[in-house]
Amino acid sequence: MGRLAVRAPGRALLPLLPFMLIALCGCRLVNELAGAAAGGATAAASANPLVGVAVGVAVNSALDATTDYIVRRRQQAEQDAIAGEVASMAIGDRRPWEIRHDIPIGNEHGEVQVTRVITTPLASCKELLFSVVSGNGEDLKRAWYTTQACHDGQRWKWALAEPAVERWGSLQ
Amino acid sequence: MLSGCTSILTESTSAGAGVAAAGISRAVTKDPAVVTGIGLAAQAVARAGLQYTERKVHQSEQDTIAAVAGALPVGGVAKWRIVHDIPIEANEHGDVTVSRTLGGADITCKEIVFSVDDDKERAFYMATICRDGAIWKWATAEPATERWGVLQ
Repeated sequence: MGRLAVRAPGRALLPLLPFMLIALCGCRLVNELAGAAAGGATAAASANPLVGVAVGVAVNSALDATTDYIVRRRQQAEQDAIAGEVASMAIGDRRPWEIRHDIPIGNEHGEVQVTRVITTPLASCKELLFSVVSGNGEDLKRAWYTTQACHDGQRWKWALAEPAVERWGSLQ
Repeated sequence: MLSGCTSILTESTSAGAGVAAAGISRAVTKDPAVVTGIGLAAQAVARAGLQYTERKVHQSEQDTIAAVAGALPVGGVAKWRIVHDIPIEANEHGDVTVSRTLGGADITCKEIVFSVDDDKERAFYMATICRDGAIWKWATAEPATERWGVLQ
């Protein structure tokens, strides 16, 4: 009985396993495993290793593009959620932010505070401090980050530009 | 933002090289394991080559914006434009302004706001540039890896 009670939640989570793997391991690893599996299966069916490699690579490509797209869209939604909060905020204001995805993995929340208003002839921008809260009770962690948002005429959007290529080149 | 290389481009370049190499080596050896190994190795080399090219192209865009902004005072606005020799990334243009200067006695940096314009809309971004001798270079560091891991 005790054993069943322990196993039940594990089984309930099985359908979510692929998503959890993506969240935990990063998408690239999952894609390459899937691509390799597809390549192997095709090679076995066609008995031609070249066809196997080609199909594996094609599957990799499609999975890469799809998961990159999904992950980026989700991250963009989170950036929009944080940047959107600062529209009516003045320096020193602090308020909660939250993102709830349709697939309930990677939902995050925290607080956002405006630390500086940057007025330029080109655009109005704000520097902000935001936290991402994870865990509960004693395990609760609150990580703080800084970023900038600018108003593009219609809405506030994340404005932090990409890192210098010399710093980021070998990391991608 | 500054339009990146797509996964499809990456994969078609490296896969093309990989399959071509595998085809050539297949004529030399009958061992499918060796053929596959050579194909994958060629893919890795092609992928690294493409990433190098793309980094160089993107770096020239950062250098262009930094050079224009480096000559501006706080509040000054100027246009920037990049036309790439290698058409991996789109030719882009916009405005740039300096929002403040920062640094110390021997470090000169500027915080900049720049736009990337197209026919329909303009997007605004912020970055930092610092002067190295006579040259202004992009100085924004990479994101915290905890925030960035799955996006690379």
